[in-house]
Amino acid sequence: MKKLIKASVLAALVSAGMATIAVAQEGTIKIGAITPNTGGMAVLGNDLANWYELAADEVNAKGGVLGKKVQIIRGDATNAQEAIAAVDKLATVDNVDIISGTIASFISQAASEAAVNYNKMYWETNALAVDLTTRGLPNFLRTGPSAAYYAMQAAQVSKEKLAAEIGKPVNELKIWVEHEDSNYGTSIATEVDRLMKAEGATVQVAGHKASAVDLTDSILRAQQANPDIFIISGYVVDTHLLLRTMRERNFKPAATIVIGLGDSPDTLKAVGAEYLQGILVVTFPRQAINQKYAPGSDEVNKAYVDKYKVPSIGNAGINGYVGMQILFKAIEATNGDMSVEALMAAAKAMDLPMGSFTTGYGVKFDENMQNTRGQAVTYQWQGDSTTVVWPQEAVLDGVSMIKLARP
Amino acid sequence: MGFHTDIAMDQFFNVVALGLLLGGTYALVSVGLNLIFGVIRIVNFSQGEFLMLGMYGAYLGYTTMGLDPYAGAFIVVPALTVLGMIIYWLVMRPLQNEPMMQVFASFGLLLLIQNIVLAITGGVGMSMNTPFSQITLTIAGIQFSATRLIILLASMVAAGALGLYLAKTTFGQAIRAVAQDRKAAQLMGINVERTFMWSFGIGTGLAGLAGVLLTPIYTLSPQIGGNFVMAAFAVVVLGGLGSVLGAFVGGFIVGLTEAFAGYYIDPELKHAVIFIVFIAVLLIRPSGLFGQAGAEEVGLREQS
Repeated sequence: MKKLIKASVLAALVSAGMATIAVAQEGTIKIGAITPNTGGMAVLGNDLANWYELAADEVNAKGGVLGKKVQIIRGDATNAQEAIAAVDKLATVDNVDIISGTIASFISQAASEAAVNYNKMYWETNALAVDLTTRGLPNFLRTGPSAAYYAMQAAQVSKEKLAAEIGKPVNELKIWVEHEDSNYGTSIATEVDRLMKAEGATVQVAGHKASAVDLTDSILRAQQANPDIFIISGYVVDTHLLLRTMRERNFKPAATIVIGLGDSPDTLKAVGAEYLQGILVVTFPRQAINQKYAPGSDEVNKAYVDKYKVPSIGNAGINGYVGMQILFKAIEATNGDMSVEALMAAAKAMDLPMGSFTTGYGVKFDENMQNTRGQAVTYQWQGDSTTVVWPQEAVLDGVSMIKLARP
Repeated sequence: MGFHTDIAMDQFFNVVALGLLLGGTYALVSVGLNLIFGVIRIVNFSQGEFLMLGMYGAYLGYTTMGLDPYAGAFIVVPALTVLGMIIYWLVMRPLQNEPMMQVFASFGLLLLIQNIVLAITGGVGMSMNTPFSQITLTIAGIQFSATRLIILLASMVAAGALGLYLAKTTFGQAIRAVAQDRKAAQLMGINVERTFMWSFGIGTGLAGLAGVLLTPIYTLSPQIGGNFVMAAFAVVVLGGLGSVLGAFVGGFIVGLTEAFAGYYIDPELKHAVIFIVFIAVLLIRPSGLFGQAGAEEVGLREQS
């Protein structure tokens, strides 16, 4: 009997050992990353792919996901056709398990639809267009905020903080929303309009072409309306032109909110520190943020610089990093089943509170598979850089919103 | 009552000022395009890219040598003139007998130049903050941005200088002769190919000048040339192909229309209004306001 037990135990150990070895050899989780690594968005695309790889490195250093190493395979796409081609290659030649991305909504749209053909999960971390999650695509979810969340943040900060700073009740506020006229700017403007009108505020929405040679007419019109809060939803070139024109025309509303960008060193060069003081920026959370709200963000930013030798550009990358971490959790929950059905079910079941991740995010997907616990925050230009000023929990100790109306 | 009228008048004059300043920008951008159009009969789709190169050239001078763009112009403009001449000789001249191919080649140049700059810069937006960018002058209660005022002055100088050059100098007259009738000019002993090369170079040099002067106002991106060149085509056709005065006046027509439509109607509709005006002028005068008769068939008709 003793001999039998000994033999069985030995056999069990050996087979367990062999099984472990087998798993380690066969197990790599391959995640395709579709980002614009060339073309006009190359800097953002590369940055996002870098952050995905950073997340993969970190989890691999701890033994991987379910003992398997995570491998990020990059796919370059700057337009819809390239997106489809990238998905084709990733799904067939590279045989990835899951596809992620994407920075630009129009690229995500095409890539995720192509991924349906291969029955691959499209795990969106970044692209903003609201209709990406309302399309009803069966393999799609988004971990980061959508454009609607940007709009929501702008509305919330206006309602809960700026109204008091300006000294008016919310329903007496005059708001001007200046947006670039493609789907991106228009969708944000429309949502801000809806949210603030619901509070009784007076809202005027005005569009302009992102490629316009001159935006003085837009500023003259806004100046005439004399709004309390001036909100910009545009791309880099037109936003900079608007801010420069505002400076030129001495247009100083009580509060200016720039949505989605306007917090880069280049903005500082374009507009100048003097005019920028006090201007608010709604964007993904990254730096100059309370470590209780966004645990570990300082360390992770430093880890990025250590690995890539340059600081990350913009705030979108870290949002992708967290999205990747959420994906790892989902894979753990499915015990390695990376089919669309299993991942969608696992994601749906996830319920993690705010503050679970470096960006201060939690996880709770709504019926359209949009993470409702991915929040944008409001930064303010103070001195030569931006710091978080809203929501209050995200603000660094000792920081407060500086006076809005410039003399 | 009077108070409202004062404000309305104020705004009116502001809009007029804006239109004139904008007109100066369009005129400067269009002068070079018009020269190439009028003389060589090439629709140079890459004109906007030379403007963009002028901007990046000024930026390079600023970041490496601390050169204010206005000083940098003295290096950038000659450099782009030479570049234009080289490109003419290597790309356009071999296609001399195929005007349609020259158009496609210019489009190919657009893609090539844009993508080279994209590859080098990574597409990041770059801005400059020069002492001039912050200055606003107030004359008679109306605000003028110093940078745009400088462009307006430059456009007048450029157009004036070019006009004088074409009218008074021997080479200028050679250019005009070639523009009118290249075979006859050849028979008169004018080296047509060299004339074309110089004209192309001057055209691209002027685009570069426009780019340099625009740098304090805009955030650079490799695609920014397109923003200006579309309006420039409208200006050139509106003002009349081959007429320096036409490009100049056309620029102001477009600038004023844009300012008035943008302010009094809607900024989103101003381009539509410009094109309505554009079509209206062409219906009345197909060769443009100051164009030479028959100029509207440029590129479609065999050059006699």
